[in-house]
Amino acid sequence: MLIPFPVELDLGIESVSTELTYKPAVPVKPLSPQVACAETTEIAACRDLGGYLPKLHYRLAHHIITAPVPAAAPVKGTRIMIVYGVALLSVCLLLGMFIGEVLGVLLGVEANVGGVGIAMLFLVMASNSSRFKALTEGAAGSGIQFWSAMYIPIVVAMAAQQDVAGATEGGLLAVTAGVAAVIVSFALVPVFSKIGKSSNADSTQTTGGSDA
Amino acid sequence: MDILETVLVRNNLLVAFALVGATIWISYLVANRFTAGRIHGSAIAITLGLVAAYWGGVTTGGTRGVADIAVLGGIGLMGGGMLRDFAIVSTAFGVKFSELKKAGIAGVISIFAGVLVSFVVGAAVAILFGYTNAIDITTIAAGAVTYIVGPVTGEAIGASEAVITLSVAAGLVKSILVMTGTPLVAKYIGLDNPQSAMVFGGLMGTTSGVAAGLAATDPKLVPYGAMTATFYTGVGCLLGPSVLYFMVDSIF
Repeated sequence: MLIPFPVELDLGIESVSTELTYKPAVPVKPLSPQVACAETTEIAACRDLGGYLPKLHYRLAHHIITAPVPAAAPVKGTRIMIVYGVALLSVCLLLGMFIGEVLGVLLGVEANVGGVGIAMLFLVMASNSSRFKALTEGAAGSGIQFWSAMYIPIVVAMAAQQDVAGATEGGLLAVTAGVAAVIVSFALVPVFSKIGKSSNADSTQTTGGSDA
Repeated sequence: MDILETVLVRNNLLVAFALVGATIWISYLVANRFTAGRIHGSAIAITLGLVAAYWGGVTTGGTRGVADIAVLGGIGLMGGGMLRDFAIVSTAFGVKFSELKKAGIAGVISIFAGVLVSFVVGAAVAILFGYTNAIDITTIAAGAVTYIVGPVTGEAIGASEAVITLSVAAGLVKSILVMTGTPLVAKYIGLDNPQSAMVFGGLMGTTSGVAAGLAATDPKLVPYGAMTATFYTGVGCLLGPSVLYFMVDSIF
């Protein structure tokens, strides 16, 4: 099987645009990167796919030329799958939940202390770190984005299973206590947002959302 | 008819996906056609969900809204704690760490302030309604924190079954009001940036209320509010049966 690919060869004195073909020594299945070496009569090309290197190394006479992987050939990232992102998300939540439970036991509280919040921190760290690129980029990222997009539907389902009837059966006391707590808390949001901003007054974010 | 029901009950999660999908489609249609986009489609969908939950609770006598109806059992899984938390965490994808740090201190302060404020308001209402026993006042006040803190506190300090039920009801009212009220007041309380969303999550605390309230206001704010809100219940359970109870006990 001969695979054609366009290359631009820089020979030092002049550059040549041409299309080369190579015949993989090991049969290369599309979308399955592996080390494959190719030889034609005039040219030897060896691609290093084991480490997802996006470069091809050619040997033409005595020159060694490096060129980008042709688009037609298997490119980096083909091994990344949606499930990797979903798996990362699951591990983050499981770890967070575990830490939250342990915190609860340590504090002597019958509740999970911030498990979801801790899990979110893990995900933020993973998505901002280059070490986890294979789990957060491309297809893997869309595995996480899918759940993010399912957020509102899940919240609607959550609303549909609230004990609304139970809330109304609590009578006037329950309604008054709930409503009063919400109104006072709402009113305090701008107050505390300001405290946050004044304590950060030296940083650059002073005008950001102040014109609300 | 029996065959159809068997299929639907056996595949109830798929029924939930289809039903929620239809609900959201109708909600966005109504939002765009009749309110010209002034009310967010998801706010209508969440309200429809709550109305359905009320109907489900009244017809079945259960506590899980429509999820107590066999065919709609999948709603219980789809909107249950596991998938809800999974979806909440996924919203943090792409959030910049620096954004979280900016409001970090204000967020932490707001969690403690939120627990304290809701507790004090709840206690005041309980006293207003004639309660004079420290255990009763503390339990009802803890219910105004969240509907989880209420019973946890009540059981820890030995409150009666009736008072614990009252505290759960108070917490539910709070949660439902946050779900539906947030999009209406968002403009007036400056809830339009990550920092105020973190403060909002810390002050309100009810995870489901904050999750739904922010979804109906601006889904971009969800990760920030949810981040602080998930610590709130833990802090409430920590302070309720201890510091806050001693505080009330020393007065009454």
